Amino acid sequence: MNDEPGVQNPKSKIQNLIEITAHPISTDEVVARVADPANGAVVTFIGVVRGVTGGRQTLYLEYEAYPEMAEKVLRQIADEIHARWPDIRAVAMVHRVGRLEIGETAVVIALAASHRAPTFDALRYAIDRIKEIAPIWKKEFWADGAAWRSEH
Amino acid sequence: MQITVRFFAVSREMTGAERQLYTLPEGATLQDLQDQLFAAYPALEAQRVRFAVNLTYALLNTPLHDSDEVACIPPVGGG
Repeated sequence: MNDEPGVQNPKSKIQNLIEITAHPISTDEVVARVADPANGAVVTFIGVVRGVTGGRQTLYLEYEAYPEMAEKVLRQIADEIHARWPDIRAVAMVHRVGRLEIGETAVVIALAASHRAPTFDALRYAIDRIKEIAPIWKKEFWADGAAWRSEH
Repeated sequence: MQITVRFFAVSREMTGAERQLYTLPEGATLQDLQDQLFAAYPALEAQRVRFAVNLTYALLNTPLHDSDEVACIPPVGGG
């Protein structure tokens, strides 16, 4: 995980963490980036490579991103979260690219607030928005073929 | 003017290229570039691609400028 500065959340000394990475993601490190004595609530979403989709066995996935734009879009999503839920004090979103095996972590989102109230809705918004607009693609590989997957 | 076009996912596979340079007349729009791309790669047209200009999603009437970076964005599916 590099230490590139993220978006400065105006309400907090914590820097948001936004990253597209080719390396395995440490959930603990992502959570640590939003931890702060003022934050009584931290929620995380961990997206994991599923072994079966629609009854079909997946061998592995390949994720591809337009990295410069994906990081820009993730920063935009973080800004949207701060605007809609002003009590969210820190946002961390890390998405992996490259070949991922079953059970590996593809994305980790961690949000922190002083109290839990806004965190669940904001977390749902974050992952839905990533799937909707972030220029990131995944290809499923099976024993007998492969296909790009999108929900849109 | 010269435009860099970047291709991702299924569009990268269909064109066999991660990036290409296109020369367009002054005043050209994203629509003109799309017309060239679909003429060169007819299979792209069925892929419901969107485009980004300089890292921002853009409508087809967006005017292009020399050295712009256009990206061909097939339906996304991260997470």
